[in-house]
This record gives sequence, structure tokens and C-alpha cells, in this order.
Amino acid sequence: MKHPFFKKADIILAAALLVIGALGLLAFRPAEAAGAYAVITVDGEELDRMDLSADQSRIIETSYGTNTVTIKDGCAFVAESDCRGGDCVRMGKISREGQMIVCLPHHLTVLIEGPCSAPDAVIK
Amino acid sequence: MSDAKAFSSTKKLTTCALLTALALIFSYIEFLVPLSLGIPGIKIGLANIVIVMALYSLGPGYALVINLVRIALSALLFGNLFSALYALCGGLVSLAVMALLKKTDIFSLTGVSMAGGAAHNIAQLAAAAVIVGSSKVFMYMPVLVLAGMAAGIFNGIVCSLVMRKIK
Repeated sequence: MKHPFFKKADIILAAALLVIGALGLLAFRPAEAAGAYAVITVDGEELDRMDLSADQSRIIETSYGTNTVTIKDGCAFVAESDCRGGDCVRMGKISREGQMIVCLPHHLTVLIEGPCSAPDAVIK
Repeated sequence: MSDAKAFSSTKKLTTCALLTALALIFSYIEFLVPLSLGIPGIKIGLANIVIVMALYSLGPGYALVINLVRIALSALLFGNLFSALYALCGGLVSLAVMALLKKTDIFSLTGVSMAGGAAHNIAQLAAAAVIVGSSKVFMYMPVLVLAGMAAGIFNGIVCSLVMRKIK
């Protein structure tokens, strides 16, 4: 059986996927604006909301494992994680609204949010 | 059963076992030398060269069995239950898409593999969204679709080259 590398339908499918991909990249590109908060969620539940303007470190310990989320010079990053692979640590620093770090094995996300999403007041 | 038929099924079984071993070796190589560009889920997926080859030379049933055995064995040898479930999601959806596109008979092997790569990443992203409980991970969709296409095209070309040589 002869296997040609490409057929016409391949090119059409590739072009369609490329257009979808390019449009998606445009639609999901992170905002230019610097974010205000790093919101940490596990299983979709918000566990912590860290102010990007203050250097700090938080240890997130759940039944899945432990991640250390650090804020430094307005950037958030996962400094340490005991997950397999360590992709979350390798994802580096994020600071702009809409940027995100994911640690799949620990079901954890760190999402940068803008100032508008902060609560107006906190009553203690 | 005639001798010829018995020979053919023995040959298929042996080929199936060989391809499973080969797919497992590819999985192991990628486990030893991970290609991480900072985004989880970006891999070439060398084992898919074998899956595509099985799909074309043996049929979708054999490709499915080879992939299931590969996923189970790699989970036991160097993965865990978590990575297996995740691989299963991508593997099943990718194979379903590839089998369907192959049936239409208008795509080349490379095109089928490209679509399989993209489908694989979309399925894993959907699994990731369920796992972290947030649909926000879909912001990675464009990057993962493009990466899946590139990996699929690479695997498809390698597979076509190999199949030209052995047929």
C-alpha cells in the first residue's frame, strides 16, 4: 500500500485547525494590564487570594499534596511542589491578568485576577 | 480452521505483541527524556507512531488493544493511576477520531495522525478541566491544538516512511 504524505483533505483540515488555533490565541491572549491578585484554587474552590504587591509565600497543603506559591516583585510562581513531573514549577512566573499556572496532580490552579474582581470590603 | 488462516491469526497476534512492546519502549523513552516547554501536556507522543501503524496494518480493534495494554503497563512500570486515567482519556478519543477519519478515506495517514494529535490534546484538556474544577484551563486550547497538530504531523510522516519500507 502506498502512503502519500499529504492529500488535499489534509491541507483543508490543517488550514481549518490553524485558523481555529490562531483565533483562539488572539481570543485568549493575556491582558496587557498587570494583575492585582493571585487566586489559588483546588478542585475549583478558592483557597487563597494573594496580593501581588506584597512579597509573600504561602504553603498550600491538601490531601493531593503540597505546593508553595510565592509572590515576588509582582510576579506569582510555584516555588516548590511535591508533585510528579513538577510542571507547575517549570511554568515559571505570571503577573498579567488572565495568566494561569496549573498543577494537575494536585488539582491546583493559580490565576491572576485584576483589581475589579477583588471584594469591595471584607468584614472581619 | 485452515492452516493459512491459523498462520494469519498467529502472525497478527505476534505483530500485535511486537507493536505493544515497541509502543511501551517509546512511552518509556518519553518518560526518561521529557520534552517540556513549560506547558503540561506538550509531548511528541512517539507511542502514537505505533498506534497509527497498528490502525493501518491491523485495524482499529488491534490498535485499541495495543494502546490499552501500553497504557496499563506504563502505569504499572513508571506511571501511576492518575497518569493512566489521563492517558486513557487522550488515547481513546484520539483513536476514535483517527479510526473515523481513516474510514472516510479522503485523508492521508499524516492527516489522520495530525487530527489524532489535536483530538488527543483537546480530550486531555477536557479531563484537566474536570480535574482542577475550572473551565479556565481552556485558555490553553489553541496552544495545545497547534502542538498536537505538529506532533501528529511528525508522527504521521515517520509512520508513512516506516510503512513504505516494510510493505
